[in-house]
Amino acid sequence: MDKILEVKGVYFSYNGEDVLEGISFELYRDEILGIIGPNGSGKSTLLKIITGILKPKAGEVRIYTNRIGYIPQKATSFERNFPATVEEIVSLGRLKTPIYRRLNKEDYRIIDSALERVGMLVYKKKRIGELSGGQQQRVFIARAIAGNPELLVLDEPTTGIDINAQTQFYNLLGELNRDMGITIIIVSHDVSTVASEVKRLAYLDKRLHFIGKPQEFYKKVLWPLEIEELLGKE
Amino acid sequence: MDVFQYTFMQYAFISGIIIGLLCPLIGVFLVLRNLSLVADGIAHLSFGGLALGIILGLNPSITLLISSIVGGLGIDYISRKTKLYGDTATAIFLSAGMALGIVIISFFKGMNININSYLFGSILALTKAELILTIVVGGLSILIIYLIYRALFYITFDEDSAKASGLPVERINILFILVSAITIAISIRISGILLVSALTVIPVATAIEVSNSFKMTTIISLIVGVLSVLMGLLFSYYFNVASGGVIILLNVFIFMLSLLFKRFPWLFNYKVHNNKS
Repeated sequence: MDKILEVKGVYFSYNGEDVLEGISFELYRDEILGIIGPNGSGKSTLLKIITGILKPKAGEVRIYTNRIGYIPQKATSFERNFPATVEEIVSLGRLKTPIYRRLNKEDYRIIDSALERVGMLVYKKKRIGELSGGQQQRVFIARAIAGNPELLVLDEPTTGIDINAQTQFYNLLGELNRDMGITIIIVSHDVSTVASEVKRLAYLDKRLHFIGKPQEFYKKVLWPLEIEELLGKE
Repeated sequence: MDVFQYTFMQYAFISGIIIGLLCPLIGVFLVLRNLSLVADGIAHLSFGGLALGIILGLNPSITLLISSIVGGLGIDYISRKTKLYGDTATAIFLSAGMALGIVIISFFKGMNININSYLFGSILALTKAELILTIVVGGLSILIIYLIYRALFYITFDEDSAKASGLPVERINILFILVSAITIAISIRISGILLVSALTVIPVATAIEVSNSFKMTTIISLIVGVLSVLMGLLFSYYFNVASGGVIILLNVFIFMLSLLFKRFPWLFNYKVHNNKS
């Protein structure tokens, strides 16, 4: 299989405290990888290192594409009054070098088709802050796919979104993976939802404790932990 | 109109159009990045530089420009490198610059310079050299912002995603701080140190009230900026009052109209859109 990402012995620390210790794994094209772990386990930091927003203290990240779509955890926490339309937000996905390039007809066609793909075309002229959290996440997906990404990186995308919208959201990710061949990394603290949607699951808590099939995660990590907890209580 | 017979008024109008465009243009990004106070910080800091330049016998326009640039980069550096809360760095720089200026000026009481024209803005004060400086430096700044406009928009909305998409975010930020500092420096002659930041902030606040898109916000704030400066200069000429104060009062007035417009559109005979399209 064709590798898209290699993470080798990555360390990172905030204010002298290690948040990531010796993270190593590989990601192959067409995969959907779910990363789970408790709060403060370094999940968001790892994504920021993968996308090049942060530099690791030690180790290296090799990424075999420059077409990365990233949707940060706080994507929907912008000021509600921010004056920008849905179309303008998606058009940012078309920002390529040279940065002073103006948008042409082809760009607008791609923007429309990205909005169509996520079912948000009718909201194109709306102010982004008028939409619900779930709709905004779709717009950010459209922004990412307008840049024709090979790798899509999402940080807790379903936080604060109702169950129905969450299901739709995961269906959409599945489609993008299947139809467009986009490799996806998704971070979540919600084990059950993510585990049912991804092909591989990683459990992170400073160190990478597990990476493999979701079923194995239940057998090897989750159930033993739960049994331990049950026994401990008695 | 007879006002245009005077060379100094022609100078004031030409540079007025440039700063009326430039101030809101950088203001859009300052306001939306919650950096409204930065313009104020740079302006007050430059007062120290100005006073220093005067006692050293240097050209005040040049010392204003240099101290603004140093101040802008300084504020940016200190806020990024230290763990000061929010805009504390800006507040400290602001007071330090002002204090330095006041100490220098009070020490050299006999200085042959009208400090008021820098503090409050004066249309009479503009020399031909300053006009040329404004046209060249201001024109260049407008061009730079035009070229990096969409990148700045991306960084303003979502800096992390902009970085992940491969934009050179740090370099664009430094360029933006440079242009902001230059804008403040060349605008001080017209609007004054105390009020220059208002010209970067209020037209934008007005535009945000009445527009849905980023493009419209930019366009409306530019129109408000230029109109308020030109009308302010006329008022200032006919009623012999400080131009800076009049320009800002006009801006506040237009802002209040925009608040009314948003809450009571029917007052302006404007049909309310049906949002369920």
